[in-house]
Amino acid sequence: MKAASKPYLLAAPLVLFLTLTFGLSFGYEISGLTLRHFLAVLWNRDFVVSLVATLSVAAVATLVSNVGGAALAFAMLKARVGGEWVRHILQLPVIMPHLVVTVVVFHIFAQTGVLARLTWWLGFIDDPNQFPLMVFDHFAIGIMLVYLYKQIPFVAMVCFDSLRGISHRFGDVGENLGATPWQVATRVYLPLLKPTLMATALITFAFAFGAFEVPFLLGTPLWRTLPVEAYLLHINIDPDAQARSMAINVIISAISLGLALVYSSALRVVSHVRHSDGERP
Amino acid sequence: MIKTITIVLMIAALLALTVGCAARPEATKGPSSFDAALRSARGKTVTFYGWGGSAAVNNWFDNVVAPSLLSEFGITLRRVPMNIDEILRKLSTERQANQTRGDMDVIWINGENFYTAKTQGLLYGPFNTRIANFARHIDPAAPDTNYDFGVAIEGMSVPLGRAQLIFMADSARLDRFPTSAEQLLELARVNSGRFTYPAPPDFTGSAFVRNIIYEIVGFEAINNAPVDKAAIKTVIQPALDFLNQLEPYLWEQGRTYPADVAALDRMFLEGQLLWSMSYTPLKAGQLIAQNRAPASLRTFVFDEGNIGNTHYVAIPFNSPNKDAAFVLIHHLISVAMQAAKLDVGNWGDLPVLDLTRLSETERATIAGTNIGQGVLPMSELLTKRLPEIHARKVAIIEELWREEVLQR
Repeated sequence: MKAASKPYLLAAPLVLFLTLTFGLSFGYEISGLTLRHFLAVLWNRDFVVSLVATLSVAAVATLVSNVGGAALAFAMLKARVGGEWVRHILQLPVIMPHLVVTVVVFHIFAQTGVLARLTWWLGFIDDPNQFPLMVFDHFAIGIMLVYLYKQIPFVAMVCFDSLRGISHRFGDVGENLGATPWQVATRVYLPLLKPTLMATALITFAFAFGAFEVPFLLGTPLWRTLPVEAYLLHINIDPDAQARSMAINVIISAISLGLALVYSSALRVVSHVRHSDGERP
Repeated sequence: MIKTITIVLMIAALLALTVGCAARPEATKGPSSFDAALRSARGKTVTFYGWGGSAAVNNWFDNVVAPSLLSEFGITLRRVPMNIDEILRKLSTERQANQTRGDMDVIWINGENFYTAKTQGLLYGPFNTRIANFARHIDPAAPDTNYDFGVAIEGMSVPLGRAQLIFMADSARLDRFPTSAEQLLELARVNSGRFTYPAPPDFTGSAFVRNIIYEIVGFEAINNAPVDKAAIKTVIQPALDFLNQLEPYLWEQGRTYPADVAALDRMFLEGQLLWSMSYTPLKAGQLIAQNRAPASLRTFVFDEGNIGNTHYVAIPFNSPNKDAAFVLIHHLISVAMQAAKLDVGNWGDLPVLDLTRLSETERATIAGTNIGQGVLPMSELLTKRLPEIHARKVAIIEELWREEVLQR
């Protein structure tokens, strides 16, 4: 009995959370089940801009960090580096908190940061305003720098471990049969690396999609990512804004959950294919 | 079966929580008179809830107010730092749960939060005229005694201090200060990329936008406009046009704005901008004292005046020690505490006292307070002080700025 009711108990907070979004409220005098707040959010131009921006930032960060990370892992394998100290270097960005990286990126790339001072000292600019805007900018360069610094080493580490687990004989056979190193990488190792990359892509995307502190501190006021939008509505004292903030949170969770489901089923297909034709003795 | 039971129980629990909304507990009784409060509060502990994000403010409460409250009235002050939105959520929950004995005796509040607290019945009162120092020191006819961001106070709060939007510039780098919107446009044109303001909803940036609205269309026009987006847009359109006219001459050609006043300050102090602004009127004195700005830093306001607001203290409906709350509030608006609060070494916040009601020595105490260098005298700030508009209009203006200026 205990085991049977456990999932429902675990789901109870989610139900409570969802009910709040639909208008059953304990704090303020707005009640009754309603889709009003969801509609208010969905019909808002800012929300659409915000959703597209958040998805784009997450997609670009995921793409670049996974391509870059996998390439780095291949290069390490090829160059036969991957000893203890190389791993420690790769671990450093992974264990550094996002907040710390955010501050570092700000101090290096701001218009009065280290890089700007260096270019001024070298005589390329004579005023901080001439330095290109790389934090608080519309293209999210600063935000992207934080994600890439954190995520490329992460992807590289995971992929490197995975590649080392794959027998090098596959590559040797390929080379023996006349494949170029590029063909060995793309035709032999990349398909074998696919499940790993799908997992790292899911992790990197989910983080970039739901992160709050990085876009909050380095983002432009022109568009805001969904978590920042939700926070700004949350600190707004208007009870209606509270409900809209909750609605955005539900949408963020729903998208993340949906992606996780898509990925897990894709992963099952991929590993099934691999088991059925790849690893037969 | 178990599944059904669990679901039913969950729904029941949800409903039980919502039912709580219906009942409204009666507020616990306050003291019968101020003298009675003085007597019964001795030996008690009074709990103050308020924003704790400023070291200077916390220091004033802990090291100036608390020791004197204990020695003069025998009351211990317990300060709990908490943001006002959380305070109101907590009170609101206690209200729904019929909790007549809460934990907070005095809260620090103003603006839209006061509006929310008052309309939701989270406050005790009316009580302000029953505080001895309120009757003695505060001008009953002053606009901020009666209205907080355009919301009628009706005895539910007592003014604690006054803030005002000010501008700062370095007299060594800028020989003429813009003292009107037109002059600002002119100076920005000459010094392209050297001026900007924080993007609303930053508190200071939002106040600056309202200040420009006052400059262009006048306080009365926006104050009399109904709380309605379309109506407000019509009224403030000339001001929005002005901000758009200013935009190409701002930092980064106005394509973006600093996200908050801290970013603006940093850009100013590092020489990127020619001006900064603050809602702390004695900010320049603090910056010079901390050696973060040169002694040539000066404060200025528009000739037509700058927005000022007043912050208040109030008593929650379920305060367990209303007598001690009375005495704390009485003490907070005493001449000694208000003068200490004005001291730039403590907090640098303007007093709420009506100087004409004070004795010669009391006035001398205020006048002798160190307000720091590079600041405007209190008399000039008070004569060039414009009231705030209704809290609900503030949010609408922020939205309009976003749509019509930022995203245009």
